[in-house]
Amino acid sequence: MASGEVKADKVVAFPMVLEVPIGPQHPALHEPLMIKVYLDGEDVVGAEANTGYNHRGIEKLCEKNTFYKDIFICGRVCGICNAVHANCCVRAFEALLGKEPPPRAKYLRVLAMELERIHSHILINAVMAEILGYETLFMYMMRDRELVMKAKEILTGCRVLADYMMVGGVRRDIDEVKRDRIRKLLDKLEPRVKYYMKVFEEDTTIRKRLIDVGKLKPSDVIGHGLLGPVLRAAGFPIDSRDYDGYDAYREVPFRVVTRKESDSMARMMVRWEETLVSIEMCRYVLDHLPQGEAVPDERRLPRRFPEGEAFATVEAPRGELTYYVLSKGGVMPYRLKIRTPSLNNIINGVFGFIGYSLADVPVILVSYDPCISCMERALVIDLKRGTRKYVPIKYLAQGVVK
Amino acid sequence: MGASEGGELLDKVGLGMLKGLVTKAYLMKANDRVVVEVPNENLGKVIEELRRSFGKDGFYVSTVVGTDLIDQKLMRVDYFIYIAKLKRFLVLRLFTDRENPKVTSLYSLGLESAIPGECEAHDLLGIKFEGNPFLKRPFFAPEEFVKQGIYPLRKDVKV
Repeated sequence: MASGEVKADKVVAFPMVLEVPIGPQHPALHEPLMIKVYLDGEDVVGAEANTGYNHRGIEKLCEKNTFYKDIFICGRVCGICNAVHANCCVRAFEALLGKEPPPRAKYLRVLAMELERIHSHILINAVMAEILGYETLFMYMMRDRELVMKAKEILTGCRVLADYMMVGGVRRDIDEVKRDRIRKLLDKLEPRVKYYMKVFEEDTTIRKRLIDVGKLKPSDVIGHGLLGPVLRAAGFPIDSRDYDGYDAYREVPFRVVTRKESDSMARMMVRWEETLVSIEMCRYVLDHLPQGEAVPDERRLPRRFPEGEAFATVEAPRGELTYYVLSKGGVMPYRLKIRTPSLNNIINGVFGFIGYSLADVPVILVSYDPCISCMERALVIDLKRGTRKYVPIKYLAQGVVK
Repeated sequence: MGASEGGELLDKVGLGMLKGLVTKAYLMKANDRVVVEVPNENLGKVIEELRRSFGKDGFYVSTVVGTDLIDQKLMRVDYFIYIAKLKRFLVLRLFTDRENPKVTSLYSLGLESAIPGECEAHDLLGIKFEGNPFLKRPFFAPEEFVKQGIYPLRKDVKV
Protein backbone atom coordinates (compact mmCIF):
# COMPACT_ATOMS: atom_id res chain seq x y z
CA MET A 1 0.00 0.00 0.00
CA ALA A 2 1.33 3.39 -0.92
CA SER A 3 2.26 5.51 2.05
CA GLY A 4 -0.39 7.96 3.20
CA GLU A 5 -3.20 6.23 1.31
CA VAL A 6 -6.13 5.15 3.55
CA LYS A 7 -8.67 2.90 1.95
CA ALA A 8 -10.71 1.77 4.96
CA ASP A 9 -13.80 3.78 5.80
CA LYS A 10 -14.62 1.97 9.06
CA VAL A 11 -12.61 1.12 12.12
CA VAL A 12 -13.49 -2.09 13.92
CA ALA A 13 -12.42 -2.23 17.55
CA PHE A 14 -11.91 -5.73 18.94
CA PRO A 15 -12.78 -5.82 22.63
CA MET A 16 -11.33 -8.79 24.47
CA VAL A 17 -14.20 -10.63 26.07
CA LEU A 18 -13.36 -13.56 28.26
CA GLU A 19 -15.84 -16.32 28.86
CA VAL A 20 -15.72 -17.66 32.42
CA PRO A 21 -17.87 -20.64 33.30
CA ILE A 22 -18.98 -20.82 36.93
CA GLY A 23 -20.24 -24.30 37.70
CA PRO A 24 -21.85 -26.79 37.36
CA GLN A 25 -19.58 -27.66 40.28
CA HIS A 26 -18.11 -24.65 41.99
CA PRO A 27 -17.38 -23.65 45.60
CA ALA A 28 -19.76 -20.69 45.32
CA LEU A 29 -22.63 -22.91 44.31
CA HIS A 30 -24.25 -25.50 46.50
CA GLU A 31 -26.13 -27.20 43.71
CA PRO A 32 -25.37 -27.84 40.04
CA LEU A 33 -25.95 -24.89 37.75
CA MET A 34 -23.69 -23.31 35.17
CA ILE A 35 -23.48 -19.59 34.94
CA LYS A 36 -21.37 -18.33 32.11
CA VAL A 37 -20.20 -14.80 32.54
CA TYR A 38 -18.52 -12.76 29.85
CA LEU A 39 -15.85 -10.45 31.12
CA ASP A 40 -14.21 -7.32 29.83
CA GLY A 41 -11.28 -7.16 32.26
CA GLU A 42 -13.00 -7.71 35.59
CA ASP A 43 -16.38 -6.33 34.52
CA VAL A 44 -19.27 -8.59 33.61
CA VAL A 45 -20.68 -7.63 30.24
CA GLY A 46 -22.91 -10.60 29.62
CA ALA A 47 -24.27 -13.60 31.47
CA GLU A 48 -26.07 -16.83 30.75
CA ALA A 49 -27.65 -19.42 33.00
CA ASN A 50 -27.36 -22.97 31.69
CA THR A 51 -29.67 -25.47 33.30
CA GLY A 52 -30.47 -29.14 32.94
CA TYR A 53 -28.10 -30.77 35.44
CA ASN A 54 -30.71 -31.72 37.98
CA HIS A 55 -34.03 -32.29 36.22
CA ARG A 56 -35.84 -35.23 37.76
CA GLY A 57 -39.12 -35.28 35.85
CA ILE A 58 -41.24 -34.79 38.94
CA GLU A 59 -44.26 -33.46 37.03
CA LYS A 60 -44.41 -36.56 34.86
CA LEU A 61 -43.88 -38.76 37.91
CA CYS A 62 -46.84 -37.06 39.61
CA GLU A 63 -49.08 -37.72 36.60
CA LYS A 64 -48.23 -41.42 36.93
CA ASN A 65 -48.91 -41.67 40.66
CA THR A 66 -52.03 -41.24 42.77
CA PHE A 67 -52.98 -37.92 44.33
CA TYR A 68 -52.03 -39.13 47.79
CA LYS A 69 -48.60 -40.37 46.71
CA ASP A 70 -48.04 -37.07 44.92
CA ILE A 71 -48.11 -35.22 48.23
CA PHE A 72 -44.97 -37.14 49.26
CA ILE A 73 -43.34 -36.68 45.86
CA CYS A 74 -43.97 -32.92 45.94
CA GLY A 75 -42.53 -32.72 49.44
CA ARG A 76 -39.28 -33.93 47.88
CA VAL A 77 -39.02 -31.25 45.20
CA CYS A 78 -36.90 -29.28 47.62
CA GLY A 79 -35.38 -30.32 50.91
CA ILE A 80 -35.33 -26.93 52.54
CA CYS A 81 -38.88 -25.88 51.72
CA ASN A 82 -40.61 -29.26 51.74
CA ALA A 83 -43.50 -28.20 54.01
CA VAL A 84 -44.54 -25.35 51.72
CA HIS A 85 -44.42 -27.61 48.65
CA ALA A 86 -46.56 -30.23 50.36
CA ASN A 87 -48.89 -27.53 51.67
CA CYS A 88 -49.43 -25.98 48.26
CA CYS A 89 -50.04 -29.39 46.72
CA VAL A 90 -52.46 -30.40 49.48
CA ARG A 91 -54.41 -27.15 49.22
CA ALA A 92 -54.81 -27.59 45.47
CA PHE A 93 -56.16 -31.10 46.12
CA GLU A 94 -58.46 -29.80 48.85
CA ALA A 95 -59.83 -27.23 46.42
CA LEU A 96 -60.60 -30.07 43.99
CA LEU A 97 -62.35 -32.05 46.71
CA GLY A 98 -64.06 -29.01 48.25
CA LYS A 99 -62.57 -29.89 51.62
CA GLU A 100 -61.64 -27.44 54.34
CA PRO A 101 -59.22 -28.38 57.14
CA PRO A 102 -60.23 -27.65 60.74
CA PRO A 103 -58.97 -24.35 62.32
CA ARG A 104 -56.42 -26.09 64.55
CA ALA A 105 -54.83 -27.79 61.53
CA LYS A 106 -54.66 -24.46 59.69
CA TYR A 107 -52.79 -22.89 62.61
CA LEU A 108 -50.40 -25.83 62.85
CA ARG A 109 -49.69 -25.62 59.12
CA VAL A 110 -48.79 -21.95 59.54
CA LEU A 111 -46.48 -22.87 62.41
CA ALA A 112 -44.67 -25.52 60.33
CA MET A 113 -44.28 -23.19 57.35
CA GLU A 114 -43.05 -20.27 59.43
CA LEU A 115 -40.48 -22.46 61.19
CA GLU A 116 -39.33 -23.47 57.74
CA ARG A 117 -39.07 -19.86 56.63
CA ILE A 118 -36.92 -19.07 59.69
CA HIS A 119 -34.43 -21.87 59.05
CA SER A 120 -34.32 -21.20 55.32
CA HIS A 121 -33.60 -17.49 55.80
CA ILE A 122 -30.92 -18.24 58.40
CA LEU A 123 -29.36 -20.77 56.03
CA ILE A 124 -29.06 -18.39 53.08
CA ASN A 125 -27.72 -15.62 55.31
CA ALA A 126 -25.15 -18.09 56.64
CA VAL A 127 -24.21 -19.05 53.07
CA MET A 128 -23.81 -15.36 52.30
CA ALA A 129 -21.46 -15.02 55.28
CA GLU A 130 -19.43 -17.95 53.95
CA ILE A 131 -19.27 -16.47 50.45
CA LEU A 132 -17.98 -13.24 51.96
CA GLY A 133 -15.22 -15.17 53.73
CA TYR A 134 -16.71 -15.28 57.22
CA GLU A 135 -16.55 -19.00 57.83
CA THR A 136 -16.79 -18.68 61.59
CA LEU A 137 -19.94 -16.58 61.27
CA PHE A 138 -21.33 -19.26 58.98
CA MET A 139 -20.63 -21.90 61.63
CA TYR A 140 -22.24 -19.85 64.40
CA MET A 141 -25.33 -19.22 62.34
CA MET A 142 -25.64 -22.87 61.39
CA ARG A 143 -25.29 -23.78 65.08
CA ASP A 144 -28.15 -21.46 66.01
CA ARG A 145 -30.21 -22.72 63.09
CA GLU A 146 -30.24 -26.05 64.89
CA LEU A 147 -32.60 -24.49 67.47
CA VAL A 148 -35.29 -24.00 64.88
CA MET A 149 -34.56 -27.39 63.31
CA LYS A 150 -35.20 -28.87 66.76
CA ALA A 151 -38.46 -26.91 67.00
CA LYS A 152 -39.51 -28.30 63.64
CA GLU A 153 -38.63 -31.79 64.81
CA ILE A 154 -40.78 -31.37 67.91
CA LEU A 155 -43.71 -30.21 65.78
CA THR A 156 -43.49 -32.54 62.79
CA GLY A 157 -41.31 -35.43 63.93
CA CYS A 158 -38.48 -34.69 61.50
CA ARG A 159 -35.75 -32.11 61.28
CA VAL A 160 -35.84 -31.70 57.53
CA LEU A 161 -38.35 -33.66 55.47
CA ALA A 162 -41.50 -33.14 57.49
CA ASP A 163 -44.28 -34.81 55.43
CA TYR A 164 -46.53 -32.91 57.79
CA MET A 165 -49.39 -31.94 55.48
CA MET A 166 -52.26 -34.21 54.57
CA VAL A 167 -55.58 -33.60 52.87
CA GLY A 168 -57.94 -32.24 55.50
CA GLY A 169 -55.37 -31.46 58.16
CA VAL A 170 -51.91 -32.27 59.46
CA ARG A 171 -50.23 -35.51 60.39
CA ARG A 172 -49.47 -34.83 64.07
CA ASP A 173 -50.95 -32.66 66.77
CA ILE A 174 -48.98 -31.04 69.59
CA ASP A 175 -49.63 -30.94 73.33
CA GLU A 176 -48.79 -28.44 76.07
CA VAL A 177 -45.32 -29.90 76.71
CA LYS A 178 -44.32 -29.59 73.07
CA ARG A 179 -45.76 -26.07 72.89
CA ASP A 180 -43.59 -24.99 75.81
CA ARG A 181 -40.49 -26.57 74.31
CA ILE A 182 -41.01 -24.77 70.99
CA ARG A 183 -41.64 -21.49 72.85
CA LYS A 184 -38.38 -21.88 74.77
CA LEU A 185 -36.43 -22.60 71.59
CA LEU A 186 -37.89 -19.48 69.93
CA ASP A 187 -36.95 -17.43 73.00
CA LYS A 188 -33.36 -18.64 72.65
CA LEU A 189 -33.30 -18.02 68.91
CA GLU A 190 -34.65 -14.48 68.81
CA PRO A 191 -31.68 -12.67 70.43
CA ARG A 192 -29.30 -14.60 68.16
CA VAL A 193 -31.18 -13.49 65.05
CA LYS A 194 -31.15 -9.90 66.29
CA TYR A 195 -27.40 -10.16 66.87
CA TYR A 196 -26.71 -11.52 63.37
CA MET A 197 -28.91 -8.85 61.87
CA LYS A 198 -26.83 -6.25 63.70
CA VAL A 199 -23.63 -7.88 62.40
CA PHE A 200 -24.94 -7.63 58.83
CA GLU A 201 -26.01 -4.03 59.38
CA GLU A 202 -22.83 -2.82 61.03
CA ASP A 203 -19.86 -4.87 59.85
CA THR A 204 -17.73 -2.78 57.50
CA THR A 205 -16.70 -5.61 55.19
CA ILE A 206 -20.21 -6.99 54.84
CA ARG A 207 -21.53 -3.51 54.12
CA LYS A 208 -18.86 -2.90 51.49
CA ARG A 209 -19.58 -6.20 49.76
CA LEU A 210 -23.37 -5.91 49.80
CA ILE A 211 -24.45 -2.29 49.62
CA ASP A 212 -25.07 -1.09 46.06
CA VAL A 213 -24.01 -4.48 44.69
CA GLY A 214 -26.51 -6.17 42.41
CA LYS A 215 -28.76 -3.14 42.43
CA LEU A 216 -31.84 -3.72 40.30
CA LYS A 217 -34.32 -1.16 39.04
CA PRO A 218 -37.74 -1.82 40.65
CA SER A 219 -39.43 -1.79 37.23
CA ASP A 220 -36.93 -4.44 36.02
CA VAL A 221 -37.60 -6.59 39.08
CA ILE A 222 -41.37 -6.77 38.57
CA GLY A 223 -41.02 -6.74 34.79
CA HIS A 224 -38.85 -9.85 34.87
CA GLY A 225 -41.15 -11.54 37.36
CA LEU A 226 -38.55 -11.86 40.13
CA LEU A 227 -40.23 -13.03 43.30
CA GLY A 228 -40.12 -13.16 47.07
CA PRO A 229 -37.51 -11.20 49.03
CA VAL A 230 -35.99 -9.93 45.74
CA LEU A 231 -39.33 -8.36 44.81
CA ARG A 232 -40.01 -7.03 48.29
CA ALA A 233 -36.49 -5.56 48.57
CA ALA A 234 -37.43 -3.44 45.52
CA GLY A 235 -40.36 -1.93 47.39
CA PHE A 236 -43.27 -4.08 46.15
CA PRO A 237 -45.40 -5.39 49.04
CA ILE A 238 -46.34 -8.56 47.15
CA ASP A 239 -46.63 -11.63 49.35
CA SER A 240 -48.98 -14.51 48.69
CA ARG A 241 -49.66 -14.91 52.41
CA ASP A 242 -51.15 -11.43 52.16
CA TYR A 243 -53.05 -11.58 48.86
CA ASP A 244 -54.25 -15.19 49.06
CA GLY A 245 -54.61 -15.43 52.84
CA TYR A 246 -54.54 -19.22 52.73
CA ASP A 247 -54.73 -21.45 55.80
CA ALA A 248 -54.71 -19.21 58.90
CA TYR A 249 -52.82 -16.26 57.41
CA ARG A 250 -55.94 -14.07 57.50
CA GLU A 251 -56.06 -14.58 61.28
CA VAL A 252 -52.39 -14.53 62.28
CA PRO A 253 -51.18 -10.92 62.27
CA PHE A 254 -48.02 -10.17 60.30
CA ARG A 255 -46.57 -7.39 58.20
CA VAL A 256 -45.12 -7.63 54.73
CA VAL A 257 -41.48 -6.53 55.01
CA THR A 258 -40.28 -4.28 52.21
CA ARG A 259 -37.19 -2.21 51.48
CA LYS A 260 -36.50 0.43 48.91
CA GLU A 261 -32.80 0.00 48.08
CA SER A 262 -33.12 -3.11 45.88
CA ASP A 263 -29.47 -4.13 46.33
CA SER A 264 -27.95 -7.30 47.80
CA MET A 265 -27.98 -5.78 51.30
CA ALA A 266 -31.69 -4.95 51.06
CA ARG A 267 -32.47 -8.51 50.03
CA MET A 268 -30.56 -9.97 52.98
CA MET A 269 -32.13 -7.49 55.40
CA VAL A 270 -35.62 -8.32 54.14
CA ARG A 271 -34.83 -11.93 55.02
CA TRP A 272 -33.58 -11.04 58.51
CA GLU A 273 -36.65 -8.92 59.22
CA GLU A 274 -38.93 -11.64 57.90
CA THR A 275 -37.21 -14.07 60.26
CA LEU A 276 -38.12 -11.86 63.22
CA VAL A 277 -41.69 -11.44 61.95
CA SER A 278 -41.95 -15.22 61.56
CA ILE A 279 -40.77 -15.78 65.14
CA GLU A 280 -43.57 -13.47 66.31
CA MET A 281 -46.06 -15.34 64.13
CA CYS A 282 -44.97 -18.69 65.61
CA ARG A 283 -45.49 -17.29 69.11
CA TYR A 284 -48.95 -16.02 68.14
CA VAL A 285 -49.89 -19.43 66.76
CA LEU A 286 -48.66 -21.19 69.91
CA ASP A 287 -50.63 -18.79 72.11
CA HIS A 288 -53.85 -18.84 70.08
CA LEU A 289 -54.01 -22.44 68.93
CA PRO A 290 -57.72 -23.29 68.54
CA GLN A 291 -59.14 -26.34 70.27
CA GLY A 292 -60.38 -29.31 68.32
CA GLU A 293 -59.18 -31.97 65.95
CA ALA A 294 -56.22 -31.42 63.65
CA VAL A 295 -55.48 -34.91 62.36
CA PRO A 296 -58.06 -36.36 59.95
CA ASP A 297 -58.82 -40.05 59.67
CA GLU A 298 -56.89 -41.11 56.59
CA ARG A 299 -59.14 -44.08 55.93
CA ARG A 300 -62.15 -41.81 55.40
CA LEU A 301 -60.55 -39.62 52.74
CA PRO A 302 -62.00 -40.11 49.25
CA ARG A 303 -59.81 -42.25 46.97
CA ARG A 304 -61.19 -40.89 43.72
CA PHE A 305 -61.03 -37.21 42.88
CA PRO A 306 -63.73 -35.38 40.94
CA GLU A 307 -63.10 -33.63 37.62
CA GLY A 308 -61.84 -30.10 37.88
CA GLU A 309 -58.83 -27.86 38.11
CA ALA A 310 -57.25 -25.84 40.88
CA PHE A 311 -54.44 -23.36 41.26
CA ALA A 312 -52.85 -22.80 44.64
CA THR A 313 -50.07 -20.47 45.69
CA VAL A 314 -47.91 -20.38 48.77
CA GLU A 315 -45.26 -17.94 49.92
CA ALA A 316 -42.20 -20.18 50.07
CA PRO A 317 -39.05 -18.74 51.71
CA ARG A 318 -37.82 -17.89 48.19
CA GLY A 319 -41.06 -16.36 46.97
CA GLU A 320 -44.39 -17.23 45.43
CA LEU A 321 -44.66 -20.95 44.67
CA THR A 322 -47.55 -22.14 42.53
CA TYR A 323 -49.21 -25.49 41.86
CA TYR A 324 -51.71 -26.13 39.10
CA VAL A 325 -53.65 -29.40 39.14
CA LEU A 326 -55.99 -30.69 36.46
CA SER A 327 -58.08 -33.74 37.27
CA LYS A 328 -60.18 -35.66 34.77
CA GLY A 329 -61.69 -37.72 37.55
CA GLY A 330 -60.07 -40.80 39.05
CA VAL A 331 -57.12 -41.51 41.27
CA MET A 332 -54.33 -39.75 39.36
CA PRO A 333 -53.99 -36.13 38.23
CA TYR A 334 -54.05 -35.48 34.48
CA ARG A 335 -51.58 -32.62 34.80
CA LEU A 336 -49.66 -31.25 37.73
CA LYS A 337 -47.55 -28.17 37.18
CA ILE A 338 -45.11 -26.83 39.73
CA ARG A 339 -43.64 -23.37 39.25
CA THR A 340 -41.03 -22.62 41.84
CA PRO A 341 -39.83 -19.10 42.62
CA SER A 342 -36.23 -20.04 41.78
CA LEU A 343 -37.20 -20.68 38.14
CA ASN A 344 -37.89 -16.98 37.71
CA ASN A 345 -35.20 -15.76 40.07
CA ILE A 346 -32.30 -17.74 38.56
CA ILE A 347 -33.11 -17.67 34.87
CA ASN A 348 -34.54 -14.19 34.68
CA GLY A 349 -32.23 -12.71 37.29
CA VAL A 350 -28.93 -13.04 35.43
CA PHE A 351 -29.20 -9.51 34.07
CA GLY A 352 -28.37 -8.40 37.62
CA PHE A 353 -24.72 -9.48 37.17
CA ILE A 354 -24.06 -7.18 34.24
CA GLY A 355 -22.02 -4.14 35.12
CA TYR A 356 -20.51 -5.61 38.30
CA SER A 357 -17.14 -7.28 38.78
CA LEU A 358 -16.52 -11.04 38.67
CA ALA A 359 -16.00 -11.12 42.44
CA ASP A 360 -19.54 -9.80 42.94
CA VAL A 361 -21.19 -12.57 40.92
CA PRO A 362 -21.41 -15.12 43.79
CA VAL A 363 -22.66 -12.42 46.15
CA ILE A 364 -25.43 -11.36 43.77
CA LEU A 365 -26.36 -14.96 43.05
CA VAL A 366 -26.60 -15.83 46.74
CA SER A 367 -28.67 -12.69 47.37
CA TYR A 368 -31.32 -14.21 45.06
CA ASP A 369 -31.36 -17.32 47.29
CA PRO A 370 -31.15 -19.72 44.38
CA CYS A 371 -32.49 -23.23 44.83
CA ILE A 372 -31.44 -25.33 41.89
CA SER A 373 -33.31 -28.48 42.83
CA CYS A 374 -36.43 -26.35 43.12
CA MET A 375 -35.98 -24.82 39.72
CA GLU A 376 -35.14 -27.90 37.70
CA ARG A 377 -37.52 -29.81 37.48
CA ALA A 378 -30.86 -22.78 29.26
CA LEU A 379 -30.85 -20.59 27.51
CA VAL A 380 -29.02 -17.53 26.75
CA ILE A 381 -30.18 -14.47 28.50
CA ASP A 382 -28.00 -11.59 27.66
CA LEU A 383 -30.38 -8.75 27.94
CA LYS A 384 -27.72 -6.36 26.67
CA ARG A 385 -28.43 -3.66 29.13
CA GLY A 386 -26.71 -0.37 28.61
CA THR A 387 -25.58 1.02 25.32
CA ARG A 388 -22.31 -0.80 24.67
CA LYS A 389 -22.50 -3.98 22.70
CA TYR A 390 -19.60 -6.37 22.97
CA VAL A 391 -19.07 -9.10 20.46
CA PRO A 392 -17.08 -12.14 21.56
CA ILE A 393 -14.18 -12.91 19.26
CA LYS A 394 -15.34 -16.47 18.71
CA TYR A 395 -18.44 -15.16 16.93
CA LEU A 396 -16.32 -12.85 14.82
CA ALA A 397 -14.22 -15.87 13.87
CA GLN A 398 -17.36 -17.74 12.86
CA GLY A 399 -18.42 -14.81 10.72
CA VAL A 400 -21.87 -14.58 12.25
CA VAL A 401 -21.70 -10.92 13.24
CA LYS A 402 -23.36 -8.60 10.79
CA MET B 1 -67.12 -10.00 19.39
CA GLY B 2 -69.81 -8.17 21.38
CA ALA B 3 -70.84 -9.48 24.76
CA SER B 4 -68.70 -12.44 25.69
CA GLU B 5 -69.78 -15.26 27.97
CA GLY B 6 -69.02 -14.31 31.56
CA GLY B 7 -69.02 -10.55 30.91
CA GLU B 8 -70.75 -9.85 34.22
CA LEU B 9 -68.02 -11.71 36.07
CA LEU B 10 -65.36 -9.54 34.41
CA ASP B 11 -67.25 -6.38 35.40
CA LYS B 12 -67.55 -7.62 38.97
CA VAL B 13 -63.83 -8.25 39.45
CA GLY B 14 -62.73 -5.02 37.76
CA LEU B 15 -61.63 -6.54 34.44
CA GLY B 16 -64.52 -5.18 32.36
CA MET B 17 -62.10 -3.75 29.78
CA LEU B 18 -61.40 -7.28 28.51
CA LYS B 19 -65.04 -7.98 27.65
CA GLY B 20 -64.87 -7.56 23.91
CA LEU B 21 -61.54 -9.36 23.58
CA VAL B 22 -62.20 -12.70 25.20
CA THR B 23 -64.57 -15.51 24.27
CA LYS B 24 -65.34 -16.86 27.71
CA ALA B 25 -64.72 -15.99 31.34
CA TYR B 26 -65.15 -18.22 34.38
CA LEU B 27 -63.64 -18.92 37.78
CA MET B 28 -61.03 -21.48 38.76
CA LYS B 29 -60.95 -22.98 42.21
CA ALA B 30 -59.01 -21.87 45.23
CA ASN B 31 -59.49 -18.14 45.73
CA ASP B 32 -61.52 -17.48 42.58
CA ARG B 33 -58.94 -17.07 39.84
CA VAL B 34 -60.53 -15.48 36.79
CA VAL B 35 -59.95 -17.55 33.65
CA VAL B 36 -60.47 -15.91 30.27
CA GLU B 37 -60.24 -17.77 26.99
CA VAL B 38 -58.42 -15.57 24.51
CA PRO B 39 -58.11 -16.09 20.76
CA ASN B 40 -54.44 -15.92 19.80
CA GLU B 41 -54.96 -12.86 17.61
CA ASN B 42 -56.39 -10.89 20.56
CA LEU B 43 -53.52 -11.61 22.94
CA GLY B 44 -51.69 -8.39 22.06
CA LYS B 45 -54.80 -6.28 22.64
CA VAL B 46 -55.47 -7.95 26.00
CA ILE B 47 -51.94 -7.14 27.19
CA GLU B 48 -52.32 -3.59 25.89
CA GLU B 49 -55.57 -3.17 27.83
CA LEU B 50 -53.98 -4.56 31.00
CA ARG B 51 -51.06 -2.20 30.60
CA ARG B 52 -53.37 0.75 30.09
CA SER B 53 -55.46 -0.11 33.15
CA PHE B 54 -52.84 -1.28 35.62
CA GLY B 55 -49.62 0.34 34.41
CA LYS B 56 -46.47 -1.20 33.03
CA ASP B 57 -45.29 -2.34 36.46
CA GLY B 58 -48.70 -3.37 37.69
CA PHE B 59 -48.62 -7.04 36.72
CA TYR B 60 -46.30 -9.91 35.90
CA VAL B 61 -46.52 -13.39 34.41
CA SER B 62 -46.36 -15.70 37.39
CA THR B 63 -46.76 -19.12 35.80
CA VAL B 64 -46.98 -20.59 32.32
CA VAL B 65 -48.74 -23.96 32.19
CA GLY B 66 -48.83 -26.02 29.03
CA THR B 67 -51.25 -28.94 28.92
CA ASP B 68 -51.48 -31.66 26.32
CA LEU B 69 -55.20 -32.31 25.69
CA ILE B 70 -54.62 -35.38 23.57
CA ASP B 71 -58.31 -36.38 23.35
CA GLN B 72 -59.34 -33.04 21.87
CA LYS B 73 -56.17 -32.92 19.71
CA LEU B 74 -55.38 -29.59 21.30
CA MET B 75 -52.52 -28.06 23.24
CA ARG B 76 -53.49 -25.54 25.89
CA VAL B 77 -51.39 -22.71 27.24
CA ASP B 78 -52.41 -20.94 30.46
CA TYR B 79 -50.69 -17.72 31.42
CA PHE B 80 -51.23 -16.94 35.09
CA ILE B 81 -50.85 -13.19 35.46
CA TYR B 82 -50.73 -11.59 38.89
CA ILE B 83 -52.29 -8.12 38.98
CA ALA B 84 -50.98 -6.25 42.00
CA LYS B 85 -53.75 -3.64 42.18
CA LEU B 86 -56.56 -6.20 42.18
CA LYS B 87 -54.54 -8.65 44.34
CA ARG B 88 -55.79 -11.38 42.04
CA PHE B 89 -54.67 -13.81 39.36
CA LEU B 90 -55.96 -13.54 35.82
CA VAL B 91 -55.54 -16.64 33.68
CA LEU B 92 -55.20 -16.13 29.93
CA ARG B 93 -56.14 -19.44 28.32
CA LEU B 94 -55.13 -20.14 24.73
CA PHE B 95 -55.80 -23.22 22.63
CA THR B 96 -53.69 -24.33 19.73
CA ASP B 97 -53.50 -27.27 17.39
CA ARG B 98 -51.67 -30.25 18.89
CA GLU B 99 -49.80 -31.20 15.72
CA ASN B 100 -48.21 -27.82 15.27
CA PRO B 101 -48.65 -25.96 18.54
CA LYS B 102 -47.78 -22.30 18.37
CA VAL B 103 -48.95 -19.20 20.18
CA THR B 104 -47.74 -15.63 20.34
CA SER B 105 -45.06 -15.22 22.99
CA LEU B 106 -45.83 -12.83 25.81
CA TYR B 107 -42.14 -11.91 25.75
CA SER B 108 -42.66 -10.55 22.25
CA LEU B 109 -45.45 -8.38 23.71
CA GLY B 110 -43.03 -6.88 26.22
CA LEU B 111 -43.44 -9.19 29.21
CA GLU B 112 -39.99 -10.50 30.12
CA SER B 113 -41.43 -12.40 33.07
CA ALA B 114 -42.78 -14.98 30.60
CA ILE B 115 -39.27 -16.12 29.50
CA PRO B 116 -38.62 -19.02 31.94
CA GLY B 117 -42.14 -20.44 31.69
CA GLU B 118 -42.19 -20.29 27.91
CA CYS B 119 -38.74 -21.90 27.66
CA GLU B 120 -39.85 -24.72 29.94
CA ALA B 121 -43.12 -25.32 28.06
CA HIS B 122 -41.24 -25.31 24.77
CA ASP B 123 -38.69 -27.84 25.99
CA LEU B 124 -41.08 -30.23 27.70
CA LEU B 125 -44.18 -29.94 25.49
CA GLY B 126 -42.91 -28.61 22.19
CA ILE B 127 -45.06 -25.49 22.11
CA LYS B 128 -43.60 -22.77 19.92
CA PHE B 129 -43.86 -19.30 21.33
CA GLU B 130 -43.56 -17.04 18.34
CA GLY B 131 -41.32 -14.08 19.00
CA ASN B 132 -39.34 -15.54 21.92
CA PRO B 133 -35.67 -15.72 20.85
CA PHE B 134 -34.57 -17.57 24.00
CA LEU B 135 -36.33 -20.86 23.26
CA LYS B 136 -33.83 -23.69 23.04
CA ARG B 137 -33.48 -27.39 23.58
CA PRO B 138 -32.17 -28.89 25.79
CA PHE B 139 -33.38 -26.55 28.48
CA PHE B 140 -34.36 -29.07 31.13
CA ALA B 141 -34.82 -32.25 29.10
CA PRO B 142 -31.85 -34.65 28.71
CA GLU B 143 -29.93 -34.50 25.44
CA GLU B 144 -30.99 -37.97 24.24
CA PHE B 145 -34.64 -36.83 24.36
CA VAL B 146 -33.75 -33.83 22.26
CA LYS B 147 -31.93 -35.99 19.70
CA GLN B 148 -34.95 -38.29 19.41
CA GLY B 149 -37.38 -35.35 19.30
CA ILE B 150 -39.21 -36.46 22.45
CA TYR B 151 -41.27 -33.94 24.41
CA PRO B 152 -41.50 -35.69 27.80
CA LEU B 153 -44.67 -34.09 29.16
CA ARG B 154 -46.77 -35.00 26.13
CA LYS B 155 -49.35 -37.63 26.92
CA ASP B 156 -48.23 -40.05 24.21
CA VAL B 157 -44.75 -40.29 25.78
CA LYS B 158 -44.78 -43.31 28.05
CA VAL B 159 -42.59 -43.72 31.07
